[in-house]
Amino acid sequence: MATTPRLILAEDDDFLRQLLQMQCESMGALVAPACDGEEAVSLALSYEYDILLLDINMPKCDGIQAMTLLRQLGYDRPIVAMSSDAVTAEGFSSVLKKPLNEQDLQQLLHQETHHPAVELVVSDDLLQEFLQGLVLTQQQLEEARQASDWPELQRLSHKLKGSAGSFGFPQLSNAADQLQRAIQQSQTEARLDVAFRQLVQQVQEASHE
Amino acid sequence: MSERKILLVDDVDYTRQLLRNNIMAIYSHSTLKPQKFTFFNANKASAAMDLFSLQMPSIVFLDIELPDASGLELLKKFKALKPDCFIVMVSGVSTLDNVKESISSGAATFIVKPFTGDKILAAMQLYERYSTM
Repeated sequence: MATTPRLILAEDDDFLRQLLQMQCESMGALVAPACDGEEAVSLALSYEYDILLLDINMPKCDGIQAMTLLRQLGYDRPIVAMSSDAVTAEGFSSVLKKPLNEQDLQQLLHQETHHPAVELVVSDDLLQEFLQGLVLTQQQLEEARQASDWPELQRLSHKLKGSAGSFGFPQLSNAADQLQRAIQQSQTEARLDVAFRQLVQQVQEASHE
Repeated sequence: MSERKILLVDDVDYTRQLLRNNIMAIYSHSTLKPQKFTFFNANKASAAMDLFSLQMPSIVFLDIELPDASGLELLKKFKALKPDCFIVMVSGVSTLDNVKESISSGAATFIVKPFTGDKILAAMQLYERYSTM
């Protein structure tokens, strides 16, 4: 059975990115768009994609810098450059000449190997420990909210974001991320409160599972 | 089979446990050659520094956001004590600055939380390549 190729498409030109995304999707690929090299590196480090298709000239962090950084980190999945100029940097799996044609994309999506996900092992004991810890976390969150201790709330939500994601609670992780960001951006107290209450609700839902 | 020491530095107990379980699971289920590991745990920078000096581990998983110091500071100290130590930085924040500073301070790689099996596998595969070099 053919598997869906998962592709990161990093291209700063909005029009071109949307066009390429549509083309790849019509060929059955799952596409994660990125507007610059920094986003591309972040997405690649999630290890949820099979191929990284990287434009060379991009703001913040160009394609060669992004590729070099990922290779330094031991990222061993295919990184394909796209450029209208010749690319001589070492580390790319291949180079596609711009403008890309449909045949290039077809070949790219079909030649690259799929990386089956390695399941994270979470034992029952450990999951129970995590869930029991949530009761304490909820107390700490509420105490910090009472005291309007935003740095503490930020610390708690940051911690929760990482652990909830690892233990298979993406919504809880997301709610924690929202609160953390809201605090970071010094949003109004009313907004912070909405984020806070959503997080507490997610904590309660998770701990009742 | 020589025994390798792994130091896990994270302020959350069950996160360290999760890492340990998954490192062992990867070695028993993947193509990596089985290794015998001894694990050491630290929940803050000061304890990590003591354990590191005492055990001189081959591998460290080091969270950047520690309660008493930045993991990045600790990274520099570890590399000064044992330059060939394989250090995996762990963080919930994957900004390029964080990643670049980690590499320039000697980290071997960088894991962005949340943990997945693939991220831990990639780090251990890199370690295997590194240790046979």
